[in-house]
Amino acid sequence: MKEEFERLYQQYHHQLFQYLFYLVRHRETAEELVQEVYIKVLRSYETFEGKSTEKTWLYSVAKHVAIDHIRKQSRKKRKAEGKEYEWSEREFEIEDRAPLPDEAVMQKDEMQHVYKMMEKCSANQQQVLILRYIQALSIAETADVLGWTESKVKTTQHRAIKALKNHLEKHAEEFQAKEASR
Amino acid sequence: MSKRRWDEEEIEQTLTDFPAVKDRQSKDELYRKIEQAEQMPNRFSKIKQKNRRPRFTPLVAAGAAAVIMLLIIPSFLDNSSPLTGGDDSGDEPSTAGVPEENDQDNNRENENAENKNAENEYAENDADNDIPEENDNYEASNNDNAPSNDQGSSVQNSETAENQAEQNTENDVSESQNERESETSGEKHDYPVLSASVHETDSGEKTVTISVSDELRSTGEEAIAAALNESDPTSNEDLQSITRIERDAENQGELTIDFAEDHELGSLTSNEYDALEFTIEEILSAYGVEEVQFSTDGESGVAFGPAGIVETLTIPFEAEGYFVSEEENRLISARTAGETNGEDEWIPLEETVEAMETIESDEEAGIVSAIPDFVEIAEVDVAGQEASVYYAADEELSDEEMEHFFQSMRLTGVKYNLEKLKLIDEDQAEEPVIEYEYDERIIVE
Repeated sequence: MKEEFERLYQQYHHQLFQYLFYLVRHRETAEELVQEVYIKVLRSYETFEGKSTEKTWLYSVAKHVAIDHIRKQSRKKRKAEGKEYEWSEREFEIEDRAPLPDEAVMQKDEMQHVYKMMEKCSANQQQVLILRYIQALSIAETADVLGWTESKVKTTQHRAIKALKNHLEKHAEEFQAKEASR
Repeated sequence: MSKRRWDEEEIEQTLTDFPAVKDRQSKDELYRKIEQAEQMPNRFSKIKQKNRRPRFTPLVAAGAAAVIMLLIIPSFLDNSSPLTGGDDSGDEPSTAGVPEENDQDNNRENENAENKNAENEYAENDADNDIPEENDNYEASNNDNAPSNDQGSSVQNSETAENQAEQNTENDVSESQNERESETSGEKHDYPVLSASVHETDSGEKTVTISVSDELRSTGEEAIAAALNESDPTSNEDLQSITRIERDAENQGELTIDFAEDHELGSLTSNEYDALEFTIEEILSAYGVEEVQFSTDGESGVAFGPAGIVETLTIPFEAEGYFVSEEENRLISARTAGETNGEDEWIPLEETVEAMETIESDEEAGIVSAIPDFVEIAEVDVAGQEASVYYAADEELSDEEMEHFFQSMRLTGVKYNLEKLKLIDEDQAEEPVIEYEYDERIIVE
């Protein structure tokens, strides 16, 4: 098992962790989830049929692990507080506990703004934005990870960018209106 | 704080420049944690176990309860024996220790049969399925509610003409049915009547489409009986010779269908038999049946035309969910569409809905998703026998798209034995757009 782990770690760990982080937006949670991904992968490694590439298979496992986690959190939260939709709930975690990754680049104001507004996009749109732009996966790889057709990836990507643009502009207008009223 | 105008290329570039985020755990530390987690007993097998087939879980408790009920029944038989024609227990729900089998000699109408909602034009517009008429025929021919002392629910036909005009058999609720219902919600819920229709494609192949009506029955068996009669593809309406349908109390995936001795299924043409097999498989699969035992007047086996004596029919499990057949412009099940989930294992509702949303259109076969491209399922929240489907639509759904989408969700809900299904447009309202309680359809404007 260790041999396989070493190899997978060497080849994919950085990408997997980053993907999980941008999905859940919380470092400690991403650390826990990446363990779970390895456990699942190592347990089923022998049965991996090679229908997809090893890389997209790992991403796909990570996606399921992250979505499961988000859903669990969502249910807990909904029970406690009433109606809130799962993907937007991460905002609470982020604002309360872990604002932004502390890597230096995020200090850039515009980037922080995009990062924050991404959350307002739908779950599928966020998936595509993360996989296509942040993780630099190809359309075919993204389709494989998400179990979609390539045309759905393209359509969702197109809509995601448009949606993100709208959110950014809307937020900027609101911000400026607030500033003006002061 | 932020500029007012963004162009798309700029956004794309910014996303590409997002920082690499590194795991602070060392490789060794991570491996240690994985090893520790691996040593925890059956962590994942427990999760898997929890997710298995909730719809087939009357289980031992229900079986035991049914046995207890059977022990209790005799003490009531002197006053209300269904065999001898009991008192007028009417439509009152069962009380403790008094099974609804007491109703069986009462000449009454099933209120739910009248409860058809005119707003659901999808099923009603189907020329192949004249639901009210066929249903009336069924009810008129199923009359002698001779009770079953078996554990499962049953629907019985009459052998005596005098009862035919008066009796409606579909309120034959058994104690085991009540046990199942009380296990899930503590309340009885109704079962929608489905309708299947066999079509021949341009290439001469048979295919079957399915819809759900707003007709309801008070037990799963009654709903299956009504669905089979409504969908009967035989020229002589041979399914009217069904005398009893009984679901196994311990395994809801097993069903027995008994035919009258004088049935004429032996003379089915091969074309009719194929259509009948399609119909039976489709209807039973939609109600979650996995295997059906056929009998004739209690004796195992039924002569089905060219197929000869058939004792058992196993319903192939391949995939859940419903799609749209473009040729028929109606819904088609995933199994008919040739989809497969690749494993012989129950799939959670969330995954089924995801598969329905992301199905790759098969233009050659004319199969497309029942969920339009611009509709995105944001979440499927399942709590017990209730589910809420949150969706967002980038464009306004046409009436036809909406009907396909909602019907596909509702049909899926039947398979998962849901008592309540809410479809909620995230962008439009906090209240459900449509809420199916399976005893009425509420439209929230």
